[in-house]
Amino acid sequence: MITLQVNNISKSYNQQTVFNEVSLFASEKYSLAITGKNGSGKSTLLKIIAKLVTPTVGSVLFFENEFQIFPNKLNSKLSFVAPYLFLYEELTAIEHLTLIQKLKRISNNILAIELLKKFSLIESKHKKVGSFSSGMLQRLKYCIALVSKPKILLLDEPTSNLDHEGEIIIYDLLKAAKKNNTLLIYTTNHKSELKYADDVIDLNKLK
Amino acid sequence: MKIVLNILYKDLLCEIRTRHVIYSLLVFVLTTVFVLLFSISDNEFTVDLSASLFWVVSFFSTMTGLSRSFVLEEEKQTILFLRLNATPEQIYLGKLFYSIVVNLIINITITFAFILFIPTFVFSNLNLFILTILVSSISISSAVTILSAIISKAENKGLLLPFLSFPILLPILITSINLTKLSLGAFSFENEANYLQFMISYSVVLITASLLFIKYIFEE
Repeated sequence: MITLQVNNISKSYNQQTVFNEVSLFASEKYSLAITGKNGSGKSTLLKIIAKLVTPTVGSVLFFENEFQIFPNKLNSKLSFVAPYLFLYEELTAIEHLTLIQKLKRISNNILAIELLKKFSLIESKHKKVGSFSSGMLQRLKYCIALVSKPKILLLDEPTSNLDHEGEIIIYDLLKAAKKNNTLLIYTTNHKSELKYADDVIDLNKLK
Repeated sequence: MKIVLNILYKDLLCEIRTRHVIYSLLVFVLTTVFVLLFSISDNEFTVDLSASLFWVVSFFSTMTGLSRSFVLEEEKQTILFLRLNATPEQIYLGKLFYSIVVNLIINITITFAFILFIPTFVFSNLNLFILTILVSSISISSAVTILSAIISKAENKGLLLPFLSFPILLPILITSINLTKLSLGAFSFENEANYLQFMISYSVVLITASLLFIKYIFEE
């Protein structure tokens, strides 16, 4: 059982406060949506949860069966999808999936192929990512995120750059988070996407 | 360790696909050697001069090629991909190994170019020269990798690396020049062990310090 504890975190850049004293508690089979206007700190909060950014005040702790998960072990349990996550133009789609499996010490080629089929990328699996459209890149990011069967899934603007078909796949993914025992946290500006979450944090209301 | 080797493999694969570093280095090395050849006559090439020129070419080639390791990841915004899937220490070691491999390729290329075109570049102690190339590649890479990581966060990246590298690499370059002179037979006394000991200690200190502090460089 994985749990997340966010204790009174605040973030400031150059003495400008992004958000103040955010606390939350979440566990597996739970989904949380973070919303707020542009510049309210949604992405920053998500990056802090992913341990990519250090909060100015407060702490973010992950636990597995009441034992704290240290950053070096967190990588294998957490996946992150965001528009500002860039891939290697020189590598192919399948090489990215192979690389991620090696970095996360997993081996599941069948799942990798299934994901490429699900996200309609199977015919482009040997193409270099540099030739992909923004929509194809976003689909590949999902394949990369899901190939490790993450316990914690963090999505920043989950449907950005996707067409209608892609959006439907992502909505199914958001709905299935509970069934897959995943702790899901995502940011969105679309009110229609809030219904997939158990809880919603509006960062504007916290200010 | 497997994660480190996979980061190294990824970097080498990307480099083989683009050949950015290798091509620019080959052009740089050949241009420099030919300029030297046409501007200095055969009888002016002393052992001291050849050894010094070897490491001058190596220094500037390294600055051209290796400065890109962390900077390129930052510029192409792919560093986030690595940070999500590996610890800062694993990323540093992967980049360090990549730098060592590229630095060895640079130095081997320069060696062949010098053997072919520089008349005084004839070894009296080849084993010592091979050891010098190996140890100095590790030392130079350990310094350039951590500097590249620091500089990747800065504004004026292109200018900063040669500036910061010069004082840090100077002791290594002087030691490497002295060892090369010894391997070319310029000195009668034999203090190779001291020079090698110095370079190994330098690398150990620098790599240990880098592993301790790399996480703070990544902190935002």
